[in-house]
Amino acid sequence: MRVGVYVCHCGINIAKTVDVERVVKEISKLPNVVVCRDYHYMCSDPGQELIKKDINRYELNSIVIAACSPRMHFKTFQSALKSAKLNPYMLEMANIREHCSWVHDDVEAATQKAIALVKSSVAKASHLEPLVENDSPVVPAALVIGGGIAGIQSALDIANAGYKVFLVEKEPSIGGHMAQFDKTFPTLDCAACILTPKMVDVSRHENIKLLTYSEVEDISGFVGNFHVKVKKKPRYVNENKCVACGDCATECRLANRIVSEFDEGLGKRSAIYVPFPQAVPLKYTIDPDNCLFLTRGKCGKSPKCVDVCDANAIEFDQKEKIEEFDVGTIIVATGYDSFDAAEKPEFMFGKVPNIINGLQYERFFAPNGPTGGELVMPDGSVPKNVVFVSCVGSRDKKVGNPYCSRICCMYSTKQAHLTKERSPDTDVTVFYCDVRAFGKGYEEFYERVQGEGVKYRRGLVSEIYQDDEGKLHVRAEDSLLGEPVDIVADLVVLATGVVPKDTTKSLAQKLHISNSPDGFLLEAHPKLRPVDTVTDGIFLAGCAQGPKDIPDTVAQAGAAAAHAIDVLAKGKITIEPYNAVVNPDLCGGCRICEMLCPFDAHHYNEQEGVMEINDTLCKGCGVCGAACPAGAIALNLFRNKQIISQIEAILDE
Amino acid sequence: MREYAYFPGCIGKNVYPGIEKATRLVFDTLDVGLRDYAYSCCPPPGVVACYDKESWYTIGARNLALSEQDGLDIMTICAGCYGTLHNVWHELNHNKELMDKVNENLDTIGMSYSGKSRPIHFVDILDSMRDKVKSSKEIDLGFKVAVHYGCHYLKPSDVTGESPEEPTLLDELVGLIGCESVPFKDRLTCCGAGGGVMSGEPDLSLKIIKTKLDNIRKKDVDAIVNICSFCHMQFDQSQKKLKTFDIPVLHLNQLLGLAFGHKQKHLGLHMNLVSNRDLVKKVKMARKVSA
Amino acid sequence: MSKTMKEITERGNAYNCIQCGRCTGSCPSGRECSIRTRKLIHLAKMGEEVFAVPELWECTTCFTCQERCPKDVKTTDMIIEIRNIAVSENYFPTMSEVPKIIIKSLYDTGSGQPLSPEVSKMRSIIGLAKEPFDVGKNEKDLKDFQKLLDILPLMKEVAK
Repeated sequence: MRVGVYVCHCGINIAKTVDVERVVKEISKLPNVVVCRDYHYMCSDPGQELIKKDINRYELNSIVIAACSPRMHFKTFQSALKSAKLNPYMLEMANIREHCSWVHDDVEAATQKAIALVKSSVAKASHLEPLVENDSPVVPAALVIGGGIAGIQSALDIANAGYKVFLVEKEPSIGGHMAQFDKTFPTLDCAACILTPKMVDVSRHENIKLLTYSEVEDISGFVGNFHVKVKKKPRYVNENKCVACGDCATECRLANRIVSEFDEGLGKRSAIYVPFPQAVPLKYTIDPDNCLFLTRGKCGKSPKCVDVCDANAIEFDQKEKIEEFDVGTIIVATGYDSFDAAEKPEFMFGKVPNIINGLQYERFFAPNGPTGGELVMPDGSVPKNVVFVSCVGSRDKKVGNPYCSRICCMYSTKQAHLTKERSPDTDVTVFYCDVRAFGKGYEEFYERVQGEGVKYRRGLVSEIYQDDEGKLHVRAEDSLLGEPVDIVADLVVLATGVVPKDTTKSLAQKLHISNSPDGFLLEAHPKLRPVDTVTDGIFLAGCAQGPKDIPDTVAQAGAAAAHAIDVLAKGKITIEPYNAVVNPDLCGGCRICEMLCPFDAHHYNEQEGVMEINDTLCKGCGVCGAACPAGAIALNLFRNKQIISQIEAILDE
Repeated sequence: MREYAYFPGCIGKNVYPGIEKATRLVFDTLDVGLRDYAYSCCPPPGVVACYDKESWYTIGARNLALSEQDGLDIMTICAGCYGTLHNVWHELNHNKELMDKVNENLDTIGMSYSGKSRPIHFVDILDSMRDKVKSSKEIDLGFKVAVHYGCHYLKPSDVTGESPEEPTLLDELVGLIGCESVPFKDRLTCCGAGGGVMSGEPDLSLKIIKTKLDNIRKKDVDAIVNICSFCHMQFDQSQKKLKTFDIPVLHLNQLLGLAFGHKQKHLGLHMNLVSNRDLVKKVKMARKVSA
Repeated sequence: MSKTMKEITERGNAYNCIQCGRCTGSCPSGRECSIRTRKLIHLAKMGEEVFAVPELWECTTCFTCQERCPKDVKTTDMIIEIRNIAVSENYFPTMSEVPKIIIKSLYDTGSGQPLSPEVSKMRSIIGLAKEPFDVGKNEKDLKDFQKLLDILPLMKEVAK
């Protein structure tokens, strides 16, 4: 081997603590080392030119660079090798910065350590082999899981770029939680008015296949080539025949008897229903848990829906269907659930009808809600005192949610405004801890609402009780006055926070992606890679990754789409050869490696009786290599010969 | 037959011995053995723990150590004692440094504690023998009662394991013997005696209990039922001091004693400062009906 | 054992306190007098001499505040431990002599509430032993108990 070694000063980052010249002197003495130099910034253009020139002049076939962590510039140096026509895997880096100069003070000791590290890298470099990067084709289609505003935005962006999108949504209609809102902060845009055009775009887009009332059953494969199984639940209504006239719902024997999920339990629907009038697709669905015919086998003499449907669209014999297809990338946009305030029993949620949560209050104001947008209580009266309780289920270790849900301060402010708008004489108090008005126009909106006479009292609510006359009392400390207060309320709104959807964990397992400690889906890097996951080809958008408002959701959805399009546009995946390799001559087919592999990369070849590794799925974690009892698995770039030579070089000191 | 070490506490022993007698009668009826030991004061979390925690842990540990060699768990009838002993047991089992220091102290009198003997509040024992409690009932008292859970049995919940915002045990136990638990405002609030406040801040203590008594008086109850001798003393003595209340106060074991058919004088009902005469009349009526 | 204000503040997670006020809003004493649990914790965080604050003794140690604190601040435990410092620094602002009497009775008889002759008589009337079986009954037990108390910091404080 003809090894070239380059020791970087990194300005003073390395040179201040490591005697670079001495390192060069010592390394030059080693047998395989043909040339050894130092330079101030190896990653710079001149630094790289040095390497290229030496490769040609000295016919070097292996390069060692003693500098910073390979995570910084490994790829940069690989390009230098490539342009000098040297295989980019004939490169080894010795980290004498993060592992040496940055963590020691003693110059003598640090220099000795640097010499040992470089010697070890030279030893490995002497055993490197050229490796090939393989390509894998990409299916030019994407799967978007979740049809809320995040999923809708991502789907539209990818579809507009010219790729096919499968949008899977488990409810009968797309729209998600945003469809339940009345107005959005801070502009007070009508949520439905800005959402429904996008929903319609999705339904009309020639590149989008909309699979509603469907759930992802299984996903296998890898970036560029995911195989997806989707379970389509039976609507018991023929979607091609149904014209959504609504006669079935009106005539249903259970008309207005079933608690409506869309109205968060405040309104009623029939057993055959659309969740809301602007649903996409606008097709009726029969609820199999309540429909008399489906649960008891009989609905009167004959089901009313069948009788009145002119289109003959009712089909009780429909069955669940599995649809299978392949995609190149996946975006997870499954959204959030509201915190269940029953977990805070001191707030009496669910015990009296006039203690409600944020989403429920939203339904009061929505024109398609149970009160038609009017601010009236179940008894028909207009509340004279409305009290908002902040931080319910957020910033609360006692219920296991230490995080801030981000949107509650703003949605409470918005709902306080809407309350005043409907009824200016109603007394509105918001008990808060901090008002988080972080976004564009948010602080200005908060100021406006304060100006409308909404009282902001600093202090989180300790408890709510009902007096002997049935009136609600809210107890807290007004911490700015330093006095405990007891406020009477006709209506209490608990500003419940955001929690990950209950299906998130099982979905994450299906996709081999992780959850953060707070239960939301884990991004690849909290600062620099907020839409990627550590699994290539799978991206995150919206509240599935963490609580956020609509502007951030839409922005993130666009980013996720862009990253997905990245993959689709390239048309192929280049696989870096950091993977495990099976030697079929040694492999006994015991399949221990298959059991251990966290990425399902091993496949048993029945005919040959040996294991094969899919190099796209393999991440090079090394578990199989360690476990193989026959020593049949080797890891590229971490072969036994290479590692042992490194150890021997260090111990030689 | 089940057996427990019986921790009487100072109040149930030296101030309202009716509570001790009721306890012995009731648990005898339930076929549970109670064994006595040379216990001292628990010592009170209010006065002693607030003075010096190390002393509190040590004296508490001595009490726990007494029954350890017999392998018996300890039954408390005062939630203050329970608060002390249970907290001491819990902390010593989780804090080795503290356990060593406490044992170093105990060693001076030749004692040691290894953390095994566990304190249980009597209501939990009753909870585990609901059928026996129900079948031991001889008189359907039919009382309407205001139950008082107090504080130390329920909190802090990471130590007690209870759910302090919506407890139901006491309501269910009085229900087993034919009584009705009447809800009242702030029923879970402290009686105001703990933390050394009864002795150190008597005016504040009275203010707190007066608010509670006001709330109870609004409901038509036959008695206030407690599970803590200290709360019992607070409810009884404060009514005498305030002069404007006369709601009978019963420790749960006294109520059970009545339901099991024991004579009221054996249960020490006459020892309260607040007269129980009307209550006794009601018991006589109920006795006739149940016969 | 936490001995200094700083140790108590750290052990009690007080540095996590966001001053939300749920503690004070739950406090039964706070409704009747001037104790503000939230303020006590804030003073502790700021390194102030909380042990000198008279309201410290208005807490009944009901634990409701500690139960409801969203940041897991051990409010009640801290108040008890800060009281220990107050005692050793001689701060008993409104403390009457009654607590000292209780501790003295604990030493002399083994019970904080001693047995009076009247109650002793009542005990035998209702069928209990005139003198209860406890540490005070047997002289040796009581002497041992006092020996134990002698080495504890408690008695030194009372002796002051």
